[in-house]
Amino acid sequence: MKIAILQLARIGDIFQTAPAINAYKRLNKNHTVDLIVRNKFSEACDLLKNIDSVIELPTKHILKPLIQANADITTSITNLENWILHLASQDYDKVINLSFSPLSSWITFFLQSASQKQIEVAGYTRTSDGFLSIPDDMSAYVYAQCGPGYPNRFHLAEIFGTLLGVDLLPEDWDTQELKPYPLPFDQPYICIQTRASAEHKSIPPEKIAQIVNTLKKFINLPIVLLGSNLDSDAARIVLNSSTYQHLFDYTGKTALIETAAIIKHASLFIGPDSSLQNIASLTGTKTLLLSIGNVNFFETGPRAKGSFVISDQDASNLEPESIAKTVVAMLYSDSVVTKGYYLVNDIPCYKKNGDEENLFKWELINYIYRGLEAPKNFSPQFELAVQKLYDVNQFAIEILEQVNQGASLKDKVIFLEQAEEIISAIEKLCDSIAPIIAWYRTEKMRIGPGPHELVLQKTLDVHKLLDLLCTSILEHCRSQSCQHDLPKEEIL
Amino acid sequence: MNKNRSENESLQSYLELALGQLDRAQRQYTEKLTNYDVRSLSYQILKELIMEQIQNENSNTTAG
Repeated sequence: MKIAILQLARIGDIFQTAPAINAYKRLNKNHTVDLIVRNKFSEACDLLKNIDSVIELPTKHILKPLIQANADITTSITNLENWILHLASQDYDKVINLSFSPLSSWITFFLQSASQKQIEVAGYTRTSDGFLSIPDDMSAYVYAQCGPGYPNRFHLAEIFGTLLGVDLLPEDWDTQELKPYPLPFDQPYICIQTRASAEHKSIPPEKIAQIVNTLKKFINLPIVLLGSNLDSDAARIVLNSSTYQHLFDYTGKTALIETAAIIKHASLFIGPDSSLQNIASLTGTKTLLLSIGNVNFFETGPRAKGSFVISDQDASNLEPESIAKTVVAMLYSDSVVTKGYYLVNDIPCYKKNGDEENLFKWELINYIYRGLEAPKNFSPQFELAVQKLYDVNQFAIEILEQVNQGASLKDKVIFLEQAEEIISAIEKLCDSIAPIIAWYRTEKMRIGPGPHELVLQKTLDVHKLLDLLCTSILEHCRSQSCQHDLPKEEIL
Repeated sequence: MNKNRSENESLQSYLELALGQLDRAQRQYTEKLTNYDVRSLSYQILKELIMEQIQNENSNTTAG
């Protein structure tokens, strides 16, 4: 069995893919695993185990003929075809697309189309008429419920594992052997990274300097600043603004594999949501993630034992004193009392320290996708929204049944469009219903092209499933509704 | 920093121009096709690659 794994996202995603690949190889020792990545990020693969070949997407080589006054499209297309036909000639039995992007979906579709045999596919691809095709439930879940601002709390590592058909074990967070990197001291140390790949996730270097200066009150360990050459300006500001004596700047001075070796032997890694904190998960280095802005750290956060997450929309709100105390607690005791999230061996993999959270949408997701217990705190607005969704869905089913029995779709399509408009209005008026509507829309989107009768039947099936879901949720609502006074005015 | 910004802007302009040309070439090529072939898929993949590149330049991230 020869499988191709497409990971065309960023460097951090390549590291997040490693546990799934390790688990896959643990269970399928004789399978050949090729990993397809962008050439810009291929250095990340030096850290990964269990890959037979790394195939690089040569973006620059393909696009270079276009970067001139008269774009040379023919050469660009030829460069692309040389690459993709070579990829297709590898004759894969299975293609797992972990990228969730339009580009990767077309590449996957190309490999399917070019193959003489039926290739097994997981992840985004395309239908025969070019629409997005989502063949598996995990990718459909990602499409509907994941990303910044969404309620998903499954970690990407497990999502990738599911797409590869494996359950992850702690030993799957692992790298190639990393030779120790010589540092100018011989004692435990901390690593800090300031910048993330995007500015909105980064911590200003002045804030890092404040944290380092506060740490001086509590510890005297060497601190190593890490990052690429793009982080060197920030590191210089930290150095110039800090009074901490044992501060070492290694930004831009080490290859990625050397940076990984430094992280591996550190007592603690501190940083924003970045590729280096993803490395720390693989090297088992305890991490304090300072998650800034609209980042869903539940999907990308640290996985090494003892890790902790402090999350805030705005880096200026980070309190150096509190962070310094958290660092001390993480280094010298197991008990962190700061407000934040600690790692647990469960789903989701973080639990909040301190106040209870409102997890309604996440509980709703668990009810829809995992068949777990229904949420306990239905609001009257939510119940009304589900009732309206149930009503409009009944209307859509009635129309579709009429078409099924011979009525003209052309005459009825306006009613189906109106039903969709009402569903959009319900979503706008009641945000907590969003996971149900996202599930419904995704399932509708998954209906591929085909004969009229088949498409109609599949559409009806989705509406009937929505009917079942709404009915079941309404039953739960009613069993709790004696506790609520319904509002007098309706939401629509 | 300004030099980088100006390089990115000109790179983006070239890519946007190329995207327009590619779009026309793709339409011409696929006009009479009923199914995807290697060339028509290549046009689509190249378009997606360019669009991602433009998007990454706009979002000011290190992806590319």
